[in-house]
Amino acid sequence: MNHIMTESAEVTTQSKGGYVLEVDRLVTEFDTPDGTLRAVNDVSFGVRPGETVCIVGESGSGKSTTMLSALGLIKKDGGRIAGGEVRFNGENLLRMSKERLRRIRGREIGMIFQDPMSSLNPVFTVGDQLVEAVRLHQKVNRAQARKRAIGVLSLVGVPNPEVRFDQYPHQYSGGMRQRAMIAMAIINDPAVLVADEPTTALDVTIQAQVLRVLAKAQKETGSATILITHDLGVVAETADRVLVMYGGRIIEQGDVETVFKSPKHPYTVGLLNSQPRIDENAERLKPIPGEPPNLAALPSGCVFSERCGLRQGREACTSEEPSLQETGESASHSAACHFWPEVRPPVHEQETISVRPKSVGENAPAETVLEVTELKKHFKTSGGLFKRGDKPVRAVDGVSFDLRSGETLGLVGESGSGKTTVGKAALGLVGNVDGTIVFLGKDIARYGRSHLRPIRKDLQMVFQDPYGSLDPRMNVRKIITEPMWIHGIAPGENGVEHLLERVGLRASIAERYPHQLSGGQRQRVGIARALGLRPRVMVLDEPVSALDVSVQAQVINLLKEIQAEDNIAYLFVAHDLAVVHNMSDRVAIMYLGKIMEIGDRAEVYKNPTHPYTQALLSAVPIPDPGARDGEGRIVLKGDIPNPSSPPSGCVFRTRCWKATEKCAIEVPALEDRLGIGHPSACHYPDVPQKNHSVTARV
Amino acid sequence: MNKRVLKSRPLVLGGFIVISVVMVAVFAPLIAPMDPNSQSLENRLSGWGTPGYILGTDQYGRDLLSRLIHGARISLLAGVIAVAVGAVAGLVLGLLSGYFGGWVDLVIGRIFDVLLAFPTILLALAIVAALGPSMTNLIIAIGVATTPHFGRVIRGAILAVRSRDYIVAAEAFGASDFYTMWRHVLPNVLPPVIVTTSLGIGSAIQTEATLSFLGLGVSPPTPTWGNIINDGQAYLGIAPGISLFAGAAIVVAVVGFSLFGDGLRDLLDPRVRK
Amino acid sequence: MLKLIASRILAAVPTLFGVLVATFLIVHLIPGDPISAILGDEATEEQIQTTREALGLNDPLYVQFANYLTQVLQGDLGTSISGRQPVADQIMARLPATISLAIAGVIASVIIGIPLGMLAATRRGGKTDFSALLFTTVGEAAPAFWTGILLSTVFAITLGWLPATGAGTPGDTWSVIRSLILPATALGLAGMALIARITRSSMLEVLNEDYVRTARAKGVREWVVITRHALRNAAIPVVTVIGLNFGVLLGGTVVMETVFARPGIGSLLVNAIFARDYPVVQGVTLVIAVSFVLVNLVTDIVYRFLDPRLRDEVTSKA
Repeated sequence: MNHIMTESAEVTTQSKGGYVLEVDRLVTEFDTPDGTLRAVNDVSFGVRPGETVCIVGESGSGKSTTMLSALGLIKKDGGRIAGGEVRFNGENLLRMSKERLRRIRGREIGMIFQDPMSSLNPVFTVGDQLVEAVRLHQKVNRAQARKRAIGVLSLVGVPNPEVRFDQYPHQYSGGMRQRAMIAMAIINDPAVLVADEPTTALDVTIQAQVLRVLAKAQKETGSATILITHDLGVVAETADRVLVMYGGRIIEQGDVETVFKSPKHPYTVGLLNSQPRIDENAERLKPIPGEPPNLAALPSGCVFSERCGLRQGREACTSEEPSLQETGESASHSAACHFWPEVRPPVHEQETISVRPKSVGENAPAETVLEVTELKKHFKTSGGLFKRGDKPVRAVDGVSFDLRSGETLGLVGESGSGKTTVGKAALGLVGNVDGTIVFLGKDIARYGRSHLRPIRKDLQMVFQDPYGSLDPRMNVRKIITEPMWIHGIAPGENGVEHLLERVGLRASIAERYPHQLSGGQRQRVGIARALGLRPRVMVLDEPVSALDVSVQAQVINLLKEIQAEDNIAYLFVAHDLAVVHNMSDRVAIMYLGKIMEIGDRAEVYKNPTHPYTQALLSAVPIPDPGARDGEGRIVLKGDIPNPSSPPSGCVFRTRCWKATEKCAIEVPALEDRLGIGHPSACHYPDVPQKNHSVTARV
Repeated sequence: MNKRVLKSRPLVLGGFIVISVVMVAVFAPLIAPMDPNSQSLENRLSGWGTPGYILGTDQYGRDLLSRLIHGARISLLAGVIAVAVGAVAGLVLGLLSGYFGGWVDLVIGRIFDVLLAFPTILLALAIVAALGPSMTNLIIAIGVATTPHFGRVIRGAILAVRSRDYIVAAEAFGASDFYTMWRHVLPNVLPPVIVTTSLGIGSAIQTEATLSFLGLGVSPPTPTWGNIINDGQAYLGIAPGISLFAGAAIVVAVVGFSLFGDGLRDLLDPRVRK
Repeated sequence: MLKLIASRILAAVPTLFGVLVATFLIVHLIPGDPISAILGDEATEEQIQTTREALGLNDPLYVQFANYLTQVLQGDLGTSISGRQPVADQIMARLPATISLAIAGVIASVIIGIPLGMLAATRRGGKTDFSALLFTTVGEAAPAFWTGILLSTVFAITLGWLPATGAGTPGDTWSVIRSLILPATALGLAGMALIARITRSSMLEVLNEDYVRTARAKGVREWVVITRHALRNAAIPVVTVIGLNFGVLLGGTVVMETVFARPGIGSLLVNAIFARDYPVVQGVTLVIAVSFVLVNLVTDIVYRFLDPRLRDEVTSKA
């Protein structure tokens, strides 16, 4: 009786803040072999109709778990809700019947997940899955549901929705799949839309498309949106309000302007300082020391205390858990820090003229160590015995560049650009290439493996996946000494310890195995292994893309320090334009196996002359809500073509707004047509007229 | 590490059974209460619990327990040697196939395909049919029948390992093919080989029993679990214990090897090792 | 779809050719002179000549193989030495008994294995899961012929419910079915373990997939999540294992026919081995191996049909 009374009382109590969905003191725990851990710890917030709330945090912050718990989707892995309420229009989702919850999910609350490939069922057509979503909640026949589905597919920008309706998810590209996922989430006009890292798996130009579709979907449905992301740029771009999570707690919340301009939690400040930006040039990032916390061993007191620069040994930080306190910076802005009034705002450095190459001195021209000319690599697609007429994939199609000691050349591109193949080929790790790769006067392009071996020590590589690149059965000491041993280099006394120290690791790590290390530590071990050979050239293949922002900044700084000390030439392969901006002296923009534009870093970012470069830069979300300029952004149409059948003439023409007939016939050469000091491969290059902060978004 | 070994119930139970079976086989003459071939005509086909014959006797009055204990020798020996033959052949072919790829892989793969087209028992039967029934031929037959299974597992494991970045890294720091194979590929391929070996011994024991049961394996009077079941089949109505206990011995041994194999699989996975 | 089937059939051709080579070689593996091995030392010169002729051993190896190939392709599997009958006729007469047993065995293993695996998956970590594990481990460890003997002792000899021997009276469906129950159950118990294990692990894997979460998030009822969204995906590896299991069961029929004295090609093979009737041994071996290849072919096609990703891959390539 009592029980029923409370429930009905809840239903009639309307939310004070006008929230359609309200999370109230939610606690989620996981039982693991290491004990019970709290993934979500006392989290409260609400979202109003038409509003976008972003939850931002690094891995293990609990940002995804919060929303999955709220919707009752954490059953697997021993997750359980240990306390709190989640109210939808005043009704507690956590206590209602399964059937009632089922009727709300998909009808009132739509969800979009990170990986659109695995989130769509591979054995049903997209149409079937959309129709199912409609007919679960609305009494309509199949024909009506189909009509609705095709309508929504066209709303989210899926071309030929009638045809696409009958296709399976694997026949969609990544961006199209995410559009289909959005279509499924909004097909019943939900009151709340939850998007969990919706663009993380996508290329930046596709991300720009999908963010726009998401905004449109929200406008159409008028739904309250909760967007979970690790990307501060996406937050600045989309949020009305922001929740910053760390170690399972909300440590700061408020409107987007306040959180970005005058954050009052040291972690938020650290996060913003760690984030490289395309509109600023920080010679050195200011990362947060240490690593994101292990939920099984959270520090007592403030969860951030171990990494906090503000703590200065004060006892309150370790003895007492700070609660969210109003700061008065703006309405409803609050931070969970005992000493929030002492928090300094994030630093902003203005673009300065590059003074590099730094270590060589300004006058002496640096020695060219690597010269790649007309590099080509065509892969045959494997089709077994009965293949016929398979076109080779032109992974790399005539790429030329040179690399001088002590400098970093950033090689940027989206999927299928061939950037990784270029990186590996430059080290002679790819067989059967055309063109020349001249390392210190010797063309190594056609060297056999045994011939290459003595040169290997000069050419080293750091891999994207720091776990996959370390043999799981060797300890760190073995991993680091193995290359030296092979080349007959004595590690010397304390050699391993010295190398570990150089990459910022404690000597005790030498006896550990890769699976006992964190992602950041593994990557440092990978760098130490390469360094042991004292290489002249290092190819860094997405070395920081698997790392959290705060750790990423540490590794970027480390790589810069090492370069300054050892005068190594870096070929930095990456997809993240902000990271490349921060790391590089020069950049090359790649698209479908070709270089579109190459030149001095500042020049290319300031005066991009190739339409693709312009679009790419414009697509990067800037972590500054003031720079938000959705309308001015260049959003490219369509997907990146399949590298096995690239367009004729200019490979970019199918997505280019300037394309003419000439572009379909004539391949544009990479040359400086405008005479501004750097070449681009476009028949119609131009320099955008406006100043920098806007040029990137014509 | 030790804690993990002891925590894994399949491993402990399986290990216990495996060690017991091995000990019984090794020390059979010491453990067996009687000579497995000594006949006692007045005690023929006595049931279990007969004084002096715990498990009873067979149609010649031979002690069933002693025959089962000695049978463990043959069954285990046949199983272990046959699988060793299969494992080595499979390892070599699998390594060649997985590492070199190309036409080597194609040819070896085809040979495996063809061998796998014959159900294990059939392949073993066909080989024994051609070579004639004997212990050696039995081992050859089971070994050949086991080879493609090992080969497949190893090839798959190598392909998985080879695509890992640490192999590229080894090439990048100048390791030779042979070194990479020896130092990085092989150690990471061994765990599935060890697991398959344990599981393979179990099924080899079964195959041996099947062939001996059909009279195409080890011929009487040498006792094996398979031909004891065969002996007992004619007396199921009077002395069901003969076939029953011999079969139970097979079940226990095979369960032991399969639990042990499963336990090893979990233990050897470096991702879960802590 | 037709393209897919054609490409899979084409891909099976080299294997079938290899199978022919292998069966052809059986006779040539015989150590020493196969003729004396077959006929013993007391054979007359005439006997030796006839047998030599029958086996075509007088020609060079490649001619022998070419002859063998032509014969087999024309459906001629040679003449049995002891029975003086065409091997093909003998096999055809006995094939139905074997095929019905193999199919009954597959059905039994599926009927026991799949529910067991699903039960274990949905009760993961509980007592049911453990009991299922124990049951399947023991079932797999017990040699099929032994289980057959036990079943026969209990249900045929002691209780008299079902026949202990034979394949039933031809034409009398009920007696045929009754004769199948015990051997099929024995085969099923041996084969279910693999199916149960794959069903369990595949189900667990699929239930952890993102698309299952998507289905829940869009408000699909839990049992529909399992039966529609999960099962269809989980079925893909299970189908492969059922196909593989068919081969194991085909091998199992050989022994099971001996245990239950069923007149099938398995017992024909065993008898032929004792009689050193090599044409029959070759013929039966070939038929079983070819059936297995064909079953795998069907499995492969079904597998690709169930998984639209693979369906597409093949049609675009071939």
